[in-house]
Amino acid sequence: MRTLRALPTLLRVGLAESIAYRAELLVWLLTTTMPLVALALWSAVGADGPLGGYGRDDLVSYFLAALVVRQVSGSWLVWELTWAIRTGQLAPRMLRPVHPLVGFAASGLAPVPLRWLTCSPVIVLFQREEVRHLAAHPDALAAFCASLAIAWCINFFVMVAIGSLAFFVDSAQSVYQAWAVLFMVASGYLVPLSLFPPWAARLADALPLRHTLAVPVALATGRLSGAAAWMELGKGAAWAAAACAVGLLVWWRGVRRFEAFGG
Amino acid sequence: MRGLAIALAQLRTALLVKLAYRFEVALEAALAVLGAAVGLVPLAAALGGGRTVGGWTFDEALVVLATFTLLLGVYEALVAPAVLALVEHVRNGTFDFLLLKPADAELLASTSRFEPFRLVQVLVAGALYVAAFARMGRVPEARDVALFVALVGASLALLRALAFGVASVAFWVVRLDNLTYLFGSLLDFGRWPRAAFRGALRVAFTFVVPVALMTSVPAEALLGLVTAQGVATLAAVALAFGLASRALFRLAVASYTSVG
Repeated sequence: MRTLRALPTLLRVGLAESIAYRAELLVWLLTTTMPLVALALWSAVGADGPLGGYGRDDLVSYFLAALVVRQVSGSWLVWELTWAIRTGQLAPRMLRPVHPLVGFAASGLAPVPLRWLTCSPVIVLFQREEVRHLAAHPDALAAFCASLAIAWCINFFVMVAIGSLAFFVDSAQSVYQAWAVLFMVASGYLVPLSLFPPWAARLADALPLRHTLAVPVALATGRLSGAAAWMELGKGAAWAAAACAVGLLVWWRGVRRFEAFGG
Repeated sequence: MRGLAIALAQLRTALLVKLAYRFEVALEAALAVLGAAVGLVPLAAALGGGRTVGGWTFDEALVVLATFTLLLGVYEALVAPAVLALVEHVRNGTFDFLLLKPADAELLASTSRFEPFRLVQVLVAGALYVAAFARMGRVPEARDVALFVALVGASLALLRALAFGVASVAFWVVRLDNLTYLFGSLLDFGRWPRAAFRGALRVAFTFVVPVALMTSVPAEALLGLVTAQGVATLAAVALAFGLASRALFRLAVASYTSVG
């Protein structure tokens, strides 16, 4: 198919775009290393004694894993998409024989190997047990990779849905902000979910956000394994499918009412 | 005086524009409350059940969180939109129009855009202060409150200087959307008392990106815990950053060659 043939080129273009502005790339990398600062902070918090089942070493593992997961599954599509819609740049993309979302996905996925590369020195430096464990157990590794794919899917399609709101309202930024705020907490980015007070833990369990970070991290650090792991992956896959459906629906409805702003 | 008149005129325009989108106003209010609620979760997780970090209890840390929310509200309403507008202008080459106007470039750049309804976060901060002091069962002294107000002023000046310093970098490195995102991520660490940061990180958050300083010192003042050293550090850092930021902005404008 045309799209499949175009994919390698799209990925190459995506990679080139992401390293064109070197300062921007550097800043993105810096941004996603925020978990390391959080790690230092939580180490101080945990200095008094273990925090709900997380000793100092566990916190280090958690935040390093969070770093990797965030680097790989993060998506900033919403900025690109709202900008493209508002400035009318979406119109030329839609004239192409390849679906614009495929183009966006390719430019989102292309820098991922580069990001793996940049965070691997940090992982190697810490020589985590978890890395050795994953290397030795292919089924755990497979589960981890699957969870990363699910995390990316959920992130991407939620971004498509929020970005597509720009077809309907003047500014989808506020909705994105709400999502970002929820993400910070409900995905376990700022603090491990098992440390939540009960009222917050119940809320976090109901949201799909845990599959974007908490579940992959748990799989990487070995806190989740065996049958429970596959259950979580099943739930995650269901959420990913739902996100995909919602994202595509909002996109489709939006495109139907697409008007180009500013010619 | 003319500068003040210009600033007020810009603010009035922004307010009128924003009032036209009533849905957004309600959304801002909802987001402010959500942000505060969400900010409470890590704090409750870390300091619930009587734990302390660096000697700070949950209630004291709540005062820091409230100060953070206060600063963030004012920043997002009065400073951040102008910073984003500046970066856009530079990127699109429309900064020239700003330079042609017969008023100070930095003043015009600082007042070009406002989001007045982000100030709802100030109300949320107020609620957090009330909750914190109610839990502690006391009321802050009048002179502590006065010192607090002065220090918040210094923190705001510092935050503004920091933001505009970062924006000035846009003149050389044109695409900066994610630098503002990075800046926001770093700001988030101001939610925690500065005692939680140790060693190199503490130095970084006090002198390089002084987010811990700007939230903790006013909070300490309100709690009656502040030291002369703390006040002096904040004042000195605010002054230093203010001067540096102004100088950097002037340098940036001087080296600005526009798009063609």
